[in-house]
Amino acid sequence: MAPPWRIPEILRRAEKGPLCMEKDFDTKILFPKIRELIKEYDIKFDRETVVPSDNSLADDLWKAGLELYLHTGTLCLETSRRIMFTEDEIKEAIVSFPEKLVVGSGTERREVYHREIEDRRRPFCVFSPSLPFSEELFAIVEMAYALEPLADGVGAGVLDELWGEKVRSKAPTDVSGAAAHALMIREAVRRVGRPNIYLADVQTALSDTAQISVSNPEWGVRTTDGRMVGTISELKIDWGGLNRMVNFHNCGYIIMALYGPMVGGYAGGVEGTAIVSVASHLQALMVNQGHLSTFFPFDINQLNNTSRDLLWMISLVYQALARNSPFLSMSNGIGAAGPCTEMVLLEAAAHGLVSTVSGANLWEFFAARNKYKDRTTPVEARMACEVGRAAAKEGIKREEANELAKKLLKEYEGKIKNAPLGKKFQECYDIKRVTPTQEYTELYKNVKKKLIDLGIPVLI
Amino acid sequence: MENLFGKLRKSIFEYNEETAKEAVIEILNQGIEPTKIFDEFASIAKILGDKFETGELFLPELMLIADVMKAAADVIMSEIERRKLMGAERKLGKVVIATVAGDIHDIGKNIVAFLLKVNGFEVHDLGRDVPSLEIVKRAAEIKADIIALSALMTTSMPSQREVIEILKGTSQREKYLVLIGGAPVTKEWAEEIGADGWADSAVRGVKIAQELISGGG
Repeated sequence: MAPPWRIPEILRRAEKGPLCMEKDFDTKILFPKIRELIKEYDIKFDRETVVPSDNSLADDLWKAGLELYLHTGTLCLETSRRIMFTEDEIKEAIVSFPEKLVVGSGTERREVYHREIEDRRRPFCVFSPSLPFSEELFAIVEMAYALEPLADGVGAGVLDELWGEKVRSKAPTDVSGAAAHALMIREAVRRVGRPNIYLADVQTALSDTAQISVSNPEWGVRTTDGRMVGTISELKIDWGGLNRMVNFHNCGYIIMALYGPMVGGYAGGVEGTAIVSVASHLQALMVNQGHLSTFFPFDINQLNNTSRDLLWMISLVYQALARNSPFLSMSNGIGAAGPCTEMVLLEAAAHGLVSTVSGANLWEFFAARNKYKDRTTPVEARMACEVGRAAAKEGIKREEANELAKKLLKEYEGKIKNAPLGKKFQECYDIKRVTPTQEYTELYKNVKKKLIDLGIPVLI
Repeated sequence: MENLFGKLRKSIFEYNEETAKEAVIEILNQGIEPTKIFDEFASIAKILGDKFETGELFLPELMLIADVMKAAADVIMSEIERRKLMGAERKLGKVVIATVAGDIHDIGKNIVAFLLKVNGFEVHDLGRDVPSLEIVKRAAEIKADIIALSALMTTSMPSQREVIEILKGTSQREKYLVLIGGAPVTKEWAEEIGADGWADSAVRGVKIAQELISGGG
């Protein structure tokens, strides 16, 4: 059952595939083909439609993504070789893909399944900060995330410092930081009574050396936890990624392909980025060899994905995947505003709503453009998950989700460029009690009242 | 004359290197000073920056346009040399740019590099995951004015500091202006490590570089 799908073939093709310089790949192979496919399949963003209801558009996007990937393959950066596949090979990997996946263990065992459009089953929700935190705050933040009852799994922060020094990628502190990360998050989730919850990754470790160093279920990462293999935008991978992929499969880990395309980058605007996003999910299957994937597109200038055009793209990509693939993909929200602001909670609600109705599972939620140290809390993730789960439970249809998303956008889209930075984690939480402050708790309640007035579904 | 400048502009936006070079030669043959062409380039660069920020122009287009402008600029420079034209010197700053050690993300760095190029800087792009000593060595080799350092991960930001510390440790800090950027990089970090400039967007990065090179940064 794939993944993995024929690992030796991937490694062979990374060494012997067609030679191609990176600049030629970006400008002569990828971009012209994307332009051609946008025209051929008439993929066009319409400002009035945040959540499209046109199945044929979703299917066309899938076809365009598949055609793109068959044309480009994945570029291996060290060898400048394209890892190419035939359509039959991709089909073989797709039909071999599991219908569901089990993560976590014991009472925290969760099934992750492929969701359909307007699926009434609840989405699998990972709560993750994924931002740098100091050594003093790191474990407290992890406990705060694991204390969220709606979380099916938790990611973690990035350990910014260790023993008073900055953790540095590829340096020995990367390996030490990875070990500290693995030990600290396990202890943190045990302390709050969730020792077996799915831990999504060791985000501190960037290098393959540091990642592989914690492939040790005895004290590091368990095989019921997740490991990440990132794609380099667009449709590229390096040896570090392939090293990880091989090691994680050899050790029997659940692999999550990580992918964050930039709208305005190599694929162009939202239409082109939508096409390359489908192609990248195919790369996630064929090269990253992921069981799960997390998808966090963002605007190259604003760094968020809660704007109208990005929500349209997220919706359309997930609809294409829902209708045409078995993939287990999580939609990862990035808000422009920071914690303890009304705006970030509205952004989170919009992302959770649009993603879930379109067929995604959830990975929530990065605040303050995922840029500023300490500026994210579990409260934003709770809002995204609560609205997403409520939308599934109530069986919200795409047409209705479209109108609701537009109402939410009306509340915040004019403020995206100058979004409030909000507060730091330690200003939003009582860090001794590991609970949100009275101020943030009240704000959450008030925003929920507002959501109810707007007709947005909430869970509790 | 308008027609020739129109031809040049059209060629650039259509990524047509040959007709762009032809247009430049035709303009020079008319006795127009090369500085006028560079003024036109500056005007085009401004348009490119604006269009990139408003989402009307994307990175691959920027890369193709930068190649055409570089080819046209090379023709101008060789014509200046050949004809011994006077008054044609450009105040070009030399920039060494890299994504620092431990970081493989280079889209942001590429955008800044291309915008610097189309704005007339001589750009030496060292690529991604470049060791700090290599950056310092290359800056010395080409006698750079600016060292521009990109980092997209918090765990690669220490490499920005390392470059500055190597410069200090080898008594070269005063030789270069150091500009830093990247999604997690903040003004506070720039101040902490003693960088000369910081920018939160590619377009702003080019403006800061221009200000630094003119002594106004």
